[in-house]
Amino acid sequence: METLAGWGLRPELGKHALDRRGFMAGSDEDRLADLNDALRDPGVRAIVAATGGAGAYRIVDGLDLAAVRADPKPVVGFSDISNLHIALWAATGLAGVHGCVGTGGRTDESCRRLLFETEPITLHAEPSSVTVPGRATGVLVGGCACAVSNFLGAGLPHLDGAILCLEGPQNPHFDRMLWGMLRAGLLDGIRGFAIGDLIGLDPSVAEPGPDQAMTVIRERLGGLGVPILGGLPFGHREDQVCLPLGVEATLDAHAGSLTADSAVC
Amino acid sequence: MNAAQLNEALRDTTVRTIALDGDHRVLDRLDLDAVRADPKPIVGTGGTTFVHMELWRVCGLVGYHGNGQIRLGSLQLTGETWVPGRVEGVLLGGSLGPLRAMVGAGLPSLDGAILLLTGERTQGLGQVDRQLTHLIRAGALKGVRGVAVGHFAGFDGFVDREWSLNDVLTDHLNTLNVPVLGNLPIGPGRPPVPIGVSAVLNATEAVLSVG
Repeated sequence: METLAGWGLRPELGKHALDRRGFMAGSDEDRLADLNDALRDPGVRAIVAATGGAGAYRIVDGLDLAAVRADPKPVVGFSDISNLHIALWAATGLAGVHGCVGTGGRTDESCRRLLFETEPITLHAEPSSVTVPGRATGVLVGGCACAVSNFLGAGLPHLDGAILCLEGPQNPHFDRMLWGMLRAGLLDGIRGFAIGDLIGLDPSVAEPGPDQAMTVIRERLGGLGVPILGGLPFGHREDQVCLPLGVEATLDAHAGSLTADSAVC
Repeated sequence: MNAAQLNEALRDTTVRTIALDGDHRVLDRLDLDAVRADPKPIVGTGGTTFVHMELWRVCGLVGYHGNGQIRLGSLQLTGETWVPGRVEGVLLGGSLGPLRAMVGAGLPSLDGAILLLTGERTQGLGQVDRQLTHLIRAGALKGVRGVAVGHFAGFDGFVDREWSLNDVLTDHLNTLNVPVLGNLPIGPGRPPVPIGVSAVLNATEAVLSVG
């Protein structure tokens, strides 16, 4: 809240933001009501999730899509909030911000840029064993891998023309997910893959090792004939760089860069 | 067992039963002709549900969910009434993780079925919640007549912020408006139960009759 106020914004806390029900922040009805109130309120210009958003997948079918279409505004968050990003993008093409606010450093700075400036943002990748050379342009889609899997056969459209962004911690079923996407044909026509912090333990992988998720990516996606850029600094890490979603981007795996339009225009 | 080993067992006419620790990786390489020429029961839990569901959908093969020796004849299993009622249907399903992973990727229609749900803990309650939410949101449980809940390994005594596994399960299953029978002795480490055969779920009397 302090960071947002420091940017000249007037942050308002959702009515039920501090509620508790089991491992979630209140009932589905209350969390959905808070979210839809914010989507409908013309005074609200962005929705920022304080933390991960456990259970966000449970309320995606109740989002007020008419309000989103009438007055689009970015949702900022990651982890389970990726469920909201995917649902809103699939239904309305809404742009969002994968990341968070309030941890300081380049995380806050990249978030501020994406919310206040219209200039494109460039993320630079570290060397990665999954990178497949090439250059691709497409719409950035995805986020936390375990949220993507929630939409297979349940609202995720074919990703032709898209660059799929994947990150996430400790996903024991990452290989299953990519298998399912390939089997369902969802990746036909995909332009490329942008891989963030993806530290997975996948017991089904053929050659286990410390970077099992990377092995899975090489096995499942490495032969699709499209560029893959690994080592991007978005995801579950302390100094994550915020990534815009639902916007056009150019991935250059030679240069190790991902340049994307801002979340606002 | 990888796909090559499984196919070898499927083709070997002297093999009469296969105890399988399966996964999704074998599905795209299954020797379906061998299954059709010489159908034989495949017994297992967890990832073997991938194989059970695929071979039921493609070949109509009856699989066995559980571990150990197959028991011949009909089975009467006692559980616990969660939502009362009595329904008849074909018993289908198995391990929750594989069932949700097959949504949009080969999960057979469950319309008219009695759904069997078991599981293994690889993460916390949130994972079970995600998996069940996914199945329901995808419409995969449309037409399910009743739910038979078996054993979820690794969740005994597990509580997260005052919620147990049964809280997560009933939170979803009680909204389906069908009879639900919980705590059945089916699943990992439990004797095999045939999948793809007629069953009667009497949740009022807390009995599941199979075959």
